Amino acid sequence: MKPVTPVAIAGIGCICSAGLTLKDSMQALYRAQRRPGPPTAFAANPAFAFPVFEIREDFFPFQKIKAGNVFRTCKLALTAVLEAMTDAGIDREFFKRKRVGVCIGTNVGCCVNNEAFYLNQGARDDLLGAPANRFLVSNPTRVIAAEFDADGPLQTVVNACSAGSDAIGIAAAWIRAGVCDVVIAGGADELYQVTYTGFKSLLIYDDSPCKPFDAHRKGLNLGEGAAIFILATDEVLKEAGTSPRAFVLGYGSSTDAYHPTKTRPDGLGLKRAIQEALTTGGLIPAEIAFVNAHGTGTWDNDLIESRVLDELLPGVPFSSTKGYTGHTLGASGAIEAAFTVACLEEGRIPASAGFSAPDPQLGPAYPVRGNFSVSGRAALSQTLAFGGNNAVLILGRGA
Amino acid sequence: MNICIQGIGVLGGFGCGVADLESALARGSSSRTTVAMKTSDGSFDVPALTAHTDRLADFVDKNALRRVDHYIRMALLGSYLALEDAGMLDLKGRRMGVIVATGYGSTCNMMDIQQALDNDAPVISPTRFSNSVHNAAATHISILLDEMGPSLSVNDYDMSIPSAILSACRWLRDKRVKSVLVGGVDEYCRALGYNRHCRHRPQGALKNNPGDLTPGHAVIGEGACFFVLTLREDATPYGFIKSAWLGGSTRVRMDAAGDSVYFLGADASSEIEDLYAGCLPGEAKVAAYTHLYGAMPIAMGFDIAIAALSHKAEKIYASARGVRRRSDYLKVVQTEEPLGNAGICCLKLGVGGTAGTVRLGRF
Repeated sequence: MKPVTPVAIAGIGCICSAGLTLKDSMQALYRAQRRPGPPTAFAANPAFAFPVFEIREDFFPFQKIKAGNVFRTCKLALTAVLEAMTDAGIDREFFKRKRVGVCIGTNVGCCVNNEAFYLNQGARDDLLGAPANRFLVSNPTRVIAAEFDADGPLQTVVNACSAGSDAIGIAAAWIRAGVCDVVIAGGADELYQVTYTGFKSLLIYDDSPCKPFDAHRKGLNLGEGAAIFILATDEVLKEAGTSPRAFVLGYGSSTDAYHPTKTRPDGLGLKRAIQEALTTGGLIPAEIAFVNAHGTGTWDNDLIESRVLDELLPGVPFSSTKGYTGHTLGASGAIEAAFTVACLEEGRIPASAGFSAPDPQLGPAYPVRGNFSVSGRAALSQTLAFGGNNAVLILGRGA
Repeated sequence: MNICIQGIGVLGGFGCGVADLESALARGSSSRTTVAMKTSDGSFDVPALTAHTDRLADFVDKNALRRVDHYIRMALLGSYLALEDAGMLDLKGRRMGVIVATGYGSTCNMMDIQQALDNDAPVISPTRFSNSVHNAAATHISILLDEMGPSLSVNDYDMSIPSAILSACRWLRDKRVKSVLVGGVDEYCRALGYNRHCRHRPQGALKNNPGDLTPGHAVIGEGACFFVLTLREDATPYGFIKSAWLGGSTRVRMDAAGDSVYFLGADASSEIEDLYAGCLPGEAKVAAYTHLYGAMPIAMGFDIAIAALSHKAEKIYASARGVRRRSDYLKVVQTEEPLGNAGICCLKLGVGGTAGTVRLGRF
């Protein structure tokens, strides 16, 4: 791989448990506010109601959206798209004049909701179409494309927890290749009983607020949210009379080829992804101001991630923001990329929530304990996923 | 440099491997089976074109498959068959990317999980859960092939195949990898069978099911189709991929209007037949082969395989017999005919006004 041309980020939108906008979320992060609680989105046995980072406010701007009865993942995505459009200073009419692609990472947005089938099997035929219909009404890529009349390429990335990062990396490649003028890219995921119960069944779900990189970490907490990036060509930005807010400088991805749910012990897959991102970004480690780590709070992830960071990016400050948002699965890569841009602009990164007791096994790489000043024009956001997917984005400040 | 199809791996109701698909094409039929279902309505048989994965034992030790379900086995077998066909099975240093498309995902597994949750199970099987993750098929492919290159799983329902091919071409053009193993997999499950049963029983016709864009009497299919794509200057018998696109139908019409003469995948329902015809240039001829592999979201993958086999055989295979067309201007390939230098375009119209094309060419 060779260095590639940076791709402009025209606008960003973000919604998660920390805040309903990117600005609100960042304020919560810098104030070290976090709001874990038992799930209300689905019934959970109170005796086993482990914390989630759920968005409890009514957030969906029905009056601004044409789409009707879409699922929560789509509502999250659409809400973030509207914020990103406002941030970019563009409107629906602008999209209609451009080749607009949509590339969204998700997990839950693509599941077949067979629950409806089971509940209604043999009872009411008119409900039997529900499993099929869910594909149609809940796929966030198609919903966004329909809402904004996007007729460019569409792709729904389902690379588990790295899907949001991958979607942004893929979208940047589309812009570079001239496939489209604008791409609406990012990730979205809602809380879902299957993933909630599944992570608990794997014994990697913390029954208290998660503690990424801490010696007493017990696992992750799930969250929900969405982040959307509007990527555009330089020509489009000029026409819109706006300047880039930030840039996608580099992207790398690789696979562990090791285990469906465990991180490769030598971290080779993650290392390859970081190296590809640095190469395509034309950057050296010293130019990375900070790292937004995946930092789930699971034992293996944090151990291997910290060792890789120490080896490839020694001394570069890092933090995990999952202590503020929970693990938002397919949205996490995009949400954390949004945080990365905001931190570059702000010149500081938030405390790694939940981290207080250093784990000797992780040393010498520990996350920052408090808000930490950083300087530089580029930062790295990395995600590790089930299936051994590793995706790394390097983002750069705008003018 | 062209994006060449170097190997094909297919399995479905027609059998397993390229030779079985060629035989089915020559025969014009597959061996349709039925799947027995028990519901609160009683027992019934659902016609289906199901796939068998016995041949996976030729490639993988059975111990490595202990925790692998049918959905993943189909994807694995398709991958191994494609690599074998490409002569790359034992090749070292493949620097290969893996892209897996699915429309339905791991449906049987997901249904079992949902059933457990509906029964208030406090936990679910960790193996079932990890196999339910959308990238589970790609994961097992990467593990068993020991491929650490980029991996991508896409789920764009009936546009999943053009979505996957689009990214495969991009990876090769950007020189991220030397080759890409790209394909799709979809699985038969009880929900689909029951859905079809209800559609076709006289008093229980389903209403309001826009997800069903398959022909009215299409049999549900399952299977996997994988391709090894490489960037090369020399020729391969299967030809090369000229372009891949998906998006709004307007742009697809422009793309399809290239130099293609034959359009595969004209199996759309009568409701969108006019739209399909509207995407085609005047001299176009259409063919549908759904009767060989069955209806499923990744069906376009089989059409691409058939297009590549048409290049190899230098003929276009006869379309399904008895295809009724409302539109007089859809010219169906009734009997096999020489391909000549004509281009082939696989065209799929999807729900919500989406459409996808994959155009193939010969050297």
